[in-house]
Amino acid sequence: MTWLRTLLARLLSMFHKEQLAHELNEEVESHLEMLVEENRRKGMSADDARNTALREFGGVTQVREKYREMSGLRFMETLSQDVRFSFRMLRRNPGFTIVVVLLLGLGIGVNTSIFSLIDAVMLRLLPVKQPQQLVMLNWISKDFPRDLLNDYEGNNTRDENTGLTINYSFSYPSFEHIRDHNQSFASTFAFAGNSDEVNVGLNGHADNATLQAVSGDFFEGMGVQAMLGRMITRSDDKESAPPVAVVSYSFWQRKLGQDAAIAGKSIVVNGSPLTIIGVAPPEFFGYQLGDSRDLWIPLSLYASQQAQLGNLNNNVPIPKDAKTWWVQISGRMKPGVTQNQVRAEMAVLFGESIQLSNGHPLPESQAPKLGITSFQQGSGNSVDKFSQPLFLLMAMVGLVLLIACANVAGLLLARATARQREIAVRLSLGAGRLRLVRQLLTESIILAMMGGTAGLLLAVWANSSLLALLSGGGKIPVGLQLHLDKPILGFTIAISILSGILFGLTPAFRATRADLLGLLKQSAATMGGPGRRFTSGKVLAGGQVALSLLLLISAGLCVRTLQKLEAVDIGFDRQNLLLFKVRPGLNGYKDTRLASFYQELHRRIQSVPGVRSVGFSQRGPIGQGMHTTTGSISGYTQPGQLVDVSAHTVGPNYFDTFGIPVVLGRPIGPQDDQAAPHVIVVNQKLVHDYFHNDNPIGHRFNFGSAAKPREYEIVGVAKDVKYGSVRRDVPPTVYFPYLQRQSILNFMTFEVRAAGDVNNLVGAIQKEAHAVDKDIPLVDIRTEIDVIDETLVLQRAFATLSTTFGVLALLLACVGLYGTMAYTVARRTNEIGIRMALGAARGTILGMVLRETLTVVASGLVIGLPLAWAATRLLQNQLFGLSAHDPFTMIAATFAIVAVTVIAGYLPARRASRVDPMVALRYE
Amino acid sequence: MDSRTELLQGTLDLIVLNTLQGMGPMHGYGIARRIEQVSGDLLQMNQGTLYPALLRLQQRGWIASKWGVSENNRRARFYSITKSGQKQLANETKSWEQMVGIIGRLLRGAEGV
Repeated sequence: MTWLRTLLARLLSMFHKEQLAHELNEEVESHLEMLVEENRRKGMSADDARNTALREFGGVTQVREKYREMSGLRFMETLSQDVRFSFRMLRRNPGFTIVVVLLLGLGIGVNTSIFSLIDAVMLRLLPVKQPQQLVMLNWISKDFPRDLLNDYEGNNTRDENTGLTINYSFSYPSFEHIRDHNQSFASTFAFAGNSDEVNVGLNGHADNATLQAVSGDFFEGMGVQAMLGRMITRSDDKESAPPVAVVSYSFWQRKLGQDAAIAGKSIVVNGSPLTIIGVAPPEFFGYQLGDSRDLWIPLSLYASQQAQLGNLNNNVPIPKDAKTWWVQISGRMKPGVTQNQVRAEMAVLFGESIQLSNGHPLPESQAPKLGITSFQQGSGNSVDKFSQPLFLLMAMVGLVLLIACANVAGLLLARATARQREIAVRLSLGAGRLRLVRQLLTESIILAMMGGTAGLLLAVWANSSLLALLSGGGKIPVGLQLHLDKPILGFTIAISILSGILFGLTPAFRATRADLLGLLKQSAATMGGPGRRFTSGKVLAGGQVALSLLLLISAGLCVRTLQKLEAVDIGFDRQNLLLFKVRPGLNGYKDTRLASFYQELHRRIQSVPGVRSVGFSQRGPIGQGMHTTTGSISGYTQPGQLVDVSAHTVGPNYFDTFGIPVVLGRPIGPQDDQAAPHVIVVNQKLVHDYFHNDNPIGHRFNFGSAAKPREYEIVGVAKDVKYGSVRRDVPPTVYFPYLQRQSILNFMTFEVRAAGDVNNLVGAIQKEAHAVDKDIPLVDIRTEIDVIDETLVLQRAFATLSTTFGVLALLLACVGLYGTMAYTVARRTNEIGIRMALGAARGTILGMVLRETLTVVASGLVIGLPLAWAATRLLQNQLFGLSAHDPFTMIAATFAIVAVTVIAGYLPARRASRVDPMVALRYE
Repeated sequence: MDSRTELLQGTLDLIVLNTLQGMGPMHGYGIARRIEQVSGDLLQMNQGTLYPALLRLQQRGWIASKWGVSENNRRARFYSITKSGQKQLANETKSWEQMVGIIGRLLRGAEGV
């Protein structure tokens, strides 16, 4: 503890340094006078007495110095000295300072920007009270436990390594049991595993909204307070309670006109009115990043809505149904409770609840195993989904910063050589080497901090561009906010200091390693032979070339991937095609009424002038998910063997509208209704895979079981079309007539093919839809081009960003190379002059300098190519249609580097060749 | 060179503490004189080096200081040992004696071999 007291005493004494110095003077003076007095008593003369006293005392100045050093924190003092000196030096070289600050600003800015993206996607906690106390339950099983549940609603993830599935949804009775019996949660709450989109009616017009059902304890447990009105409470979450909803701040702002008196007003959700009771605070988006919710309703209300829609599995109300697992369970841990304790208690309660509904406990081997995950970041797999691309982007910007640092280090080296005389003088006057290194490092760190400030400014701009890029120019809601707040500032400061040390250390040590005598004798300009002093500079320039090659190749691979994806043949013409969804099923349409709704809408849109053809189907071909099923083909599959097929459910005119040629037989038409024989159209891939290219017309596909067959006769073969994603190979696909499925789909996607620009038709189409039913909105009205583009938005962002970084890196490397070579030439003006005076031609000089440049570039490439070869493998998952070692990209990037660097090297070379020998020889 | 001994590193603190313990509050000049007297002028020391040592001891809280008036009516700073200084002195003295004992035995042993 003594050191602490010392530190404190020193800190305190810093505040009255003057007084301390004064007191010491007084003390020393009185000491000396006592000595003098004594010497006088011994009989010395006044002068002798004084001199002897001084001798006995020793050096007064040293004592004072020592005293001062001890009485303050010398570190702080020299630091402020160094800082002041550094600013003086930097002001004296404004050009140098500006260049360095810009270079570093670029490097630090892109790093800050990408880091704020990582922070937003992967590191942010939920904007609720003490999120680290929140956990979520899950259960893990190898096989689907059919004894326990008939229907699972919600997400699960499968671990490919262990073959285990992690499930998040539980039955409502399990939730109640756990909620009412646990000791480790301060609050236990639940929410529906599925998040829904609903039709809402607002002021007489229909719209789309996202909805999340939550238990009565949800908001209290999450610690979210209403901004207006109140949130849902336990008394709202009862079968008998009046139907209520809470709206999000953004919905209230966008759709409700920021009505301050909104509480108590009603909103029509799926055709039935609910009372709005409150508005959530602005920062609360839900529990899943990038998937913000507009409305929250109680679980009991949601369950009764589902029952009305016919989504009942076991003919019991869903909240009482132990075999429908549909709610996710979360809780806020009591202070001091560990996750292990929670897991232990929840496992017991979960086992009890299964036993209660099942009648007997399950054997250990079959029982699902309960697990706990943190809920502090909410749920959803954005972390897993984006961690790899984000890591790659961070690596890229890290390299850009490294190049910028190498660049600045090169400039500092050059400047250190120019300052060598100054440093030599200071060294010979007795300055300690470490002291000088510290001074130079302080200078570097100040430069880096200035660069960091510039970087922050750049990041503000870069972040808005980044968001624009990720939202496809504002077309897609990303639900992300990039902050530049404390954690980000901390990151920026940290990388600034780190870069300051990184680029400052080597030049600082080199600069102070001077051979004193030699340096003091020499003049600045003649020092050092050709090439000797500049090896570090050239190594740095070569390193920059190597790294920028790596970045350029990565960029090339990403751009080529995007090009390949955009050039993929999706199987139909995407021009002049408009898509939108309708969901009459949500508003209570069923069976024949539902079918007539689709037919009526189809008929009315068909009559809109400018519309060439209209089709509808369960989903669009690209970017709207997939549906797969299994079946058997008599004569082609073994008894009991099932084959996987992807399925579309389509209305009449589907193939016409998309322009998908039916190469054999006939397409699906209006005649294929409930009463007609069941038929399907298959694609060529299916014929190839399962019929070995035989003619499949007339063969029958059984999608039921052997005992309960559901047979469909193949009546046509359509050309292959991509399904789900442009990346995936075309799967074997069947097309069902929508009237020949077990029930008519609640939702449909309509496709409108126009003669000209489809955007002009939107108004007319909406008017027709309004005439059919004003409460059913057209949702996600977009052109097929936009829909497909959206599936590529991440790839496009990746390509754009990597290209930006690659070009930035190349530019930095060129600046670095130019700087190094220009400096070499300037230093060697004298030597060049002599060569020319001795008869060297301009061309020879030009060649000499260019050769030197090319040597640097070539050595950079020799290092960079194997580096790129090894590193681009990390990109493999992001690529499409080409290998990570794509020779075209490798060669093109290499050529680009050589071409650009030769230009960077040519300018100094030309300057060298223009040297006037007379001037050069007189050059100092 | 004369036969005076250089002060061993770190022993000045011990000597100062011991002096203040034995003599009560003293000013810097007094301490220096006292050390010279006791050592019989055999210790070579610049009196000035005393002051950084006094500051160090103060910062560690082992001594305290107060301005007062010297015997010949001069303003001077008087130093006195504190409670924790006394404890420190006891510890240091003990370990110093141990050290002296060990070194002494070692040297005698070496002579004996």
